[in-house]
Amino acid sequence: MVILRAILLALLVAAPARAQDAPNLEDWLKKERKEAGVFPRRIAFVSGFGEAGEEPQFLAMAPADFEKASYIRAADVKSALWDLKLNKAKFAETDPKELVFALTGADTVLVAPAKGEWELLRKEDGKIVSVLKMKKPKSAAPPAVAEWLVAALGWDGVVLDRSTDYLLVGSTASILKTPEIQALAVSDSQAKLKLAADERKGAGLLSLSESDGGFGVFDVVFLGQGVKAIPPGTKLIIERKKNEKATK
Amino acid sequence: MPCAPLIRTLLLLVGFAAAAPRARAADIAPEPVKIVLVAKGRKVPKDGDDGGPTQAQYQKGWKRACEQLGEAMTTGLGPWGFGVFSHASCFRGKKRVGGSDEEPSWELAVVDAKKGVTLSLAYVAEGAAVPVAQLKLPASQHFFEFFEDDEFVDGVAFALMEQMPFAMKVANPLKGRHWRAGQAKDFKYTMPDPPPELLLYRLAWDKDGGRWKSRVIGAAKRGKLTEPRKKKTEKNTILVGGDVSYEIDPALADELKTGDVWAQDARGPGARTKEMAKIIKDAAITLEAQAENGSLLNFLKGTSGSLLSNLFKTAAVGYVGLRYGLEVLPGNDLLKKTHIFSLLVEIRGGPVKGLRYYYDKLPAASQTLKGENGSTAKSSIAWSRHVIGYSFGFTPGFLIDRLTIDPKLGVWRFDATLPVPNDADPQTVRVERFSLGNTFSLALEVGAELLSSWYTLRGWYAIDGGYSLLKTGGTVSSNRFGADAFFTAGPTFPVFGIPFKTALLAFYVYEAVNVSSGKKENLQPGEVAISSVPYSAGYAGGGLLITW
Repeated sequence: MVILRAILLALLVAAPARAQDAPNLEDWLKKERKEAGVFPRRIAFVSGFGEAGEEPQFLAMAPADFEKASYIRAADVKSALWDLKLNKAKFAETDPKELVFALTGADTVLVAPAKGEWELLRKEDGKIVSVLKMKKPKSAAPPAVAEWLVAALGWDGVVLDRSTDYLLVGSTASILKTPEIQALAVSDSQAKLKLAADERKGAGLLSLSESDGGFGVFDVVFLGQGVKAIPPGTKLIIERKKNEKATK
Repeated sequence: MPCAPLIRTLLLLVGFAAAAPRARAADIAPEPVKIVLVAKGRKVPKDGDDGGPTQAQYQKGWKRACEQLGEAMTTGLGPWGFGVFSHASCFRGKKRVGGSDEEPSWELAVVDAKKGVTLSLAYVAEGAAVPVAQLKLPASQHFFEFFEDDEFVDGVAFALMEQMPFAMKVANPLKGRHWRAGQAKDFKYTMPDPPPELLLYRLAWDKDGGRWKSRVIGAAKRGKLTEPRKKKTEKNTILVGGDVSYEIDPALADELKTGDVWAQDARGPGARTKEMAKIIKDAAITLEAQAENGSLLNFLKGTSGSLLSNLFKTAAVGYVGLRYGLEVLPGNDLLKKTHIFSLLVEIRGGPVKGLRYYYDKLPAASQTLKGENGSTAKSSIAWSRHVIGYSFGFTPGFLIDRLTIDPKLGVWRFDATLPVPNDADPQTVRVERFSLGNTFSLALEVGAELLSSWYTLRGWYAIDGGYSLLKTGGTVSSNRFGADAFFTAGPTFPVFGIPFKTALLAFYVYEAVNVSSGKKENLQPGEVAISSVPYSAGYAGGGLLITW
């Protein structure tokens, strides 16, 4: 926290960014949803994998419930299972993990067994890799799972798109429910999936102007020295202290 | 390595691009189907001198069959609301014989070969054919004539479409026509039920992935099923009308307005392939037998010729069977030696639906009994009974498929010499004869059945009371319960146009009997009359049934 405050103070000396009319979040979301997003954007939840070609065991979580809590889209399990029935021959020999990625179109798979640690899988260069393995959250309710995900990855939000001085940010509904919350954009973080504590160097200070569920529009308060723009994919550390106060 | 982070970033960006959703493939819309006849190794003589159709009849027959099948697979026109194509065009090889001259994405090849007829439906995506459905039928010179029967056409169309990635175009309200009986006044083959639940979805063919991609929007449960009604025409009575409706969630109404939504049995494509293959094969065997007899047209109109055939038709469905069982309960040495033979006849359809006849015979068995003082006596038992009954059944709607209540009348002949207590001289063995002659019996049976296309499981309980017609009187009563299992097995064979099937039977019956000899004549001085003797036996065994 001391480091974060020092970074924020250091950033105060930088030139403030120009204020312009904020884009409408609803319109922006419509546009954003049609474009290729920033990882992770679509997630599938499984409690286990069957044998080759068998139905995966998906977690009973309604996509709409999870999407209320997070910017990450939850895989459409009903369509995935139906696609398996429609393409039985094609997937008959498919590796069970590959099958989940193929059926759901997810870029991330959360393996959430009833007992033991939860694991995050993703595909890199066509291979399935384990991103992290952690103690599972206390609850498997959608808001708790959404919180667990960003906490596990070491950041609170991600820049999804940019328009002039405004950034469309994906986070969780509980983080973004505090008005005018401030966030630190982490320098050179756009290509990183996980952030370690010592990687949190500030590139700019942002302030929340509007939010809807797990999506928010942040305006750039100021940018760090030498920083010209905050690119999509940049990870954010969102100040939780104000959030906590606001919720009390 | 200063360039390492850059490489990693580039790799990750490549990863993002790969994970990004591809451009959405175009949703499937109703398209025409090209139905092509491929005569493979089968030569049709110009003048039909092999007993089959002439070339001209063959060509005409194909055109008619193709048109009939094409129509039954057209959106809104198929059985139970099935139907996926906008229209059909018919080809014989490369020659168009009906419909428009186009190259649609759907092709149904009908391969008429010496060994059999194979219908193969494929989706043609950029020159590559993706198989989606197949149906194999026995070879027949009369194959195209079968398509004169709407009931057969519905069966073939349904058998193909239930395997497809989509079977029905969804409209609001969602309703479909009833299965057809053709020109007959009743259904001639097994009619598959409409699916109890449909899954509704948009569908696309993903060229890059070479697979079907759906977006499920909801489900529809089967609602009202209106049976067709009988209508008299000039020459005969036929079945017309009838439909099935499905209940769609009203929240989906807007979604249905924005593009083509498809439906398929929620159990998945191909869930009924085995069931349908059997139904169609049995229908084809029946039609072939009728065609060979020269009575196909009469059969299709329900006015088929032979007396025996008509007799069987009135029976519609049922079975006749023989069974054999051994006594399996431990304890009684006499009963251990017994075994049972039965003849069973059950009519499960048609005007005499519910009629039952059973004949059970327990051949004579005997046992020499020894008393403690060395005395001996011979005990024996033999009985037979004829029972005729009528079964009233209904479907309870849960747990079991059918509940039956069967009142029965019968004649029971019982002749046994059974050991009885000898109070006057316990060390001497004493037997008593129970000969009841013809005994009139009344019985009531309650049964519960689980039914499928290939098995029937039945548990039952019955109570019988028999009253001897002899002057001396006498009664016999029995409490019985048991379980029967029938499994369709072995070949189907046509007899007089009726497809007969063989089935195996396994059974167990437990019987507690109480025999009373009635008024005893010529009692010796000091002799005490024994009024009744109870005994129980359990028989397990198997048998063979012929079902139709």
